[in-house]
Amino acid sequence: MTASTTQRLRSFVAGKLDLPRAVASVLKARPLNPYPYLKSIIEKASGVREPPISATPHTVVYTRGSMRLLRYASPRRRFRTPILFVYSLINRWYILDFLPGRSLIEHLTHAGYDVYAIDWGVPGKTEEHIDWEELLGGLIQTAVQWTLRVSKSRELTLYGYCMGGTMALAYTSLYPEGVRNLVAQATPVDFSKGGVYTLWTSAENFDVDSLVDAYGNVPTKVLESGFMMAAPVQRLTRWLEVCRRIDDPDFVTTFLAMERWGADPVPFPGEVYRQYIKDCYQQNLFPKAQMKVGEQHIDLGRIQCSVLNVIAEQDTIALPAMSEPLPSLVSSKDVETRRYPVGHIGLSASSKGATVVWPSIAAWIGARSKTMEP
Amino acid sequence: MSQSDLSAPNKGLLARGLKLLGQLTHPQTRTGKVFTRAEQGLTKVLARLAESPTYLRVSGGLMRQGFNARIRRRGLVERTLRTLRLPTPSEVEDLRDQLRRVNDQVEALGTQLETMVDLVHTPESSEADAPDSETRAPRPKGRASSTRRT
Repeated sequence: MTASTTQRLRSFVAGKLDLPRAVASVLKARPLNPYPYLKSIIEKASGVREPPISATPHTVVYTRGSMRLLRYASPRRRFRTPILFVYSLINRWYILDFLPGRSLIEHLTHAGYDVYAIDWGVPGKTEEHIDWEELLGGLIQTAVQWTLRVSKSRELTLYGYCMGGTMALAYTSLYPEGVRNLVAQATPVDFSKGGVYTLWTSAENFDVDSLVDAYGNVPTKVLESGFMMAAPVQRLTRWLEVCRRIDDPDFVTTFLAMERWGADPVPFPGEVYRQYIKDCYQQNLFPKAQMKVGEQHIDLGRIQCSVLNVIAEQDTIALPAMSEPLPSLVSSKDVETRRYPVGHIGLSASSKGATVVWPSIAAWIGARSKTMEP
Repeated sequence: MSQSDLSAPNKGLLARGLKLLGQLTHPQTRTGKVFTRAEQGLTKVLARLAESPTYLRVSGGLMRQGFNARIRRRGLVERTLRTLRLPTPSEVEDLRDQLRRVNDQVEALGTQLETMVDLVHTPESSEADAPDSETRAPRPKGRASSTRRT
């Protein structure tokens, strides 16, 4: 047997072993999400590879602990006022830069905005003791300051998504300086209307203190089990659709990218989670101007900048009823609610995003942003 | 997995199997209709369970017990390792975190230096950008933090 034949035989056997190996390594980690188990099977069957994360060119502007501030510079900048995305602490920011041609960040950079996004990273031991005061007055404030400095602007548009919207509202109520416009996308405001999430996190059913004391940061398995319980059957059966459309590379790519993002939660900083659950979900202090951060109360009535309240009509995570009260709580004269016929994630990653949602939001921001001088 | 591993015959077999599974569960086929009814039934049962006060009380109690057991176990392990002068799991984890972040911090430092050099060279252009009524951008100032910063 020649050396080349041996080599070919070896690579053939190795190729056959790839799939069982991939599945075996996942079984060892035992994640709750079906994605790690099924990904290699779908990849093998379709010949489609997992797309890269956040493909729009970007640089790291600033880091602090696990947080990174990313800059997505516009190829043709038209607006002086930059946009800073504040994403939720539960999942990763890159849903905002989902896939080339289907990315909110890419859309905004092409529209001429200098875009920045906070990537909270993977919180570790150092993030266990971060509280809301440090989160707002430390991390977000520094991200705002670096955004202003790097973009050479005096004001910015703060764009919060999901829990990031709650944080952006809280930040603007405490530190309004520099915030010209505020976009709150699928943002929980009235937590008494949170459906099953309000029920599950009620003080009688959920002891948040013992969870945080036991783990420090809330582990991903705990967070994942919550989302799993919200739609346990659909979480598995939606994979049947990709089986039916295994010959459609575009569909498989989009599906894998979405599932990869969904299967990539990060631990939630413990002390932030403790106060979030107690003050927001259990006592609903946030819309009542009673949530205390440091020595101050978060009073949405102090927000006077232009506010856009973006609601996804089919949202099952931040239900529309949670976001609807926002206009009546802020003092802004320029406040508007826009509703779109999509789900929570659909606002940032659906095919309707690029045609219906993003142009409308970009136009709202554009009308309130300073343009670059000729 | 390299591109060569996705050889045509094997891919075809696996793809055909998955496609068959998809077709058997498609709502328009006879088997798919049965599957869809079973799926809807199971969804209803689980939705009712997820809102059942008894289920929530029991699962909440079990979770609390599990968390408290973990707090006790972790305390015991850390105390034992400290007595033996060995690094505790949380200390090793902390070290791993620090190493992971160094890379990002170096990259950020490069960008920040570029920004600073740019600002030093063109102070007047940034002054000219803002109308008089606007307030000055605040300087990034550090807050007391336990985390490392660049």
